[in-house]
Amino acid sequence: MRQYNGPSARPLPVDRNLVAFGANIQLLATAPHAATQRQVYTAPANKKVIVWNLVADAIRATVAAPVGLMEMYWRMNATNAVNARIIELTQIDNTIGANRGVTAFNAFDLQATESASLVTADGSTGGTYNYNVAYTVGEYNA
Amino acid sequence: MRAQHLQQTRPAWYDRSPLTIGLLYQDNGIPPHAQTQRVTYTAPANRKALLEASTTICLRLTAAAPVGLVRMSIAGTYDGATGAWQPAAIMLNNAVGADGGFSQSQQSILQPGNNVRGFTEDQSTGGTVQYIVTAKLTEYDN
Repeated sequence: MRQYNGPSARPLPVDRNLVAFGANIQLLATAPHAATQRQVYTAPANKKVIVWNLVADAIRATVAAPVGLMEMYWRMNATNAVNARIIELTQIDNTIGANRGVTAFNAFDLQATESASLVTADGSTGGTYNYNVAYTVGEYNA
Repeated sequence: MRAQHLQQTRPAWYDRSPLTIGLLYQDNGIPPHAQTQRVTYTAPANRKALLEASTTICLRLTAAAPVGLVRMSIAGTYDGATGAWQPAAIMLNNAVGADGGFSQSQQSILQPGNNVRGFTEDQSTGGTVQYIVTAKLTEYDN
């Protein structure tokens, strides 16, 4: 849900040089690893950003020995956001095909130059995961 | 003379000195405990805040003996509503890897002085649980 005022002192985001794009990050057959930042999105200077859509999933591809904790999250890097996580997956399951998936419920905003990043971690020994995250954003004049 | 209102010309909320706010609590392996407040945010005087995303997750890491109820929530205190749970996760399961659901909330608006607080609780004896409580807000002029 996105809330708008009625007639406003400024044009709406859709009328402020809106640029929309999306990204899809896929990591296949990924071995266990400590928490690793995979991708960063940064709101341009003088632009605000609406993150319209954010989805993530992780699926065990091969078994571990032994299994450990898997985590995957999309976190804020803003000074005031103490790395708040917009979406988060966590799992301990050694079954091939065991999966987690989540879709962010709401659109949310990033201010100019704020960034968010995808992080994965797998505390297993051996075995692999497939990770996928996709998002669409709209950038408009701040 | 007939007094008339002009159309509203106030900026939209995202143009009223927006500030990103984040909350995060994560503990991988905390033992049983009474209900404990982990994070809190209160909208300042003359500011409102849009709660854009909030998530609670709990995942059993080691078995208890015996297992008890695990609960966690982000509770909002609004004008006329005290401690309303938004995302909440509840688990009564002793299997390693069992989870209490991945709960996200819809958006809500905090008026000046309103707050959100994140809690965890585990009524088990022994065993450990992973907890993640996180939220992202945008604060703006009232």
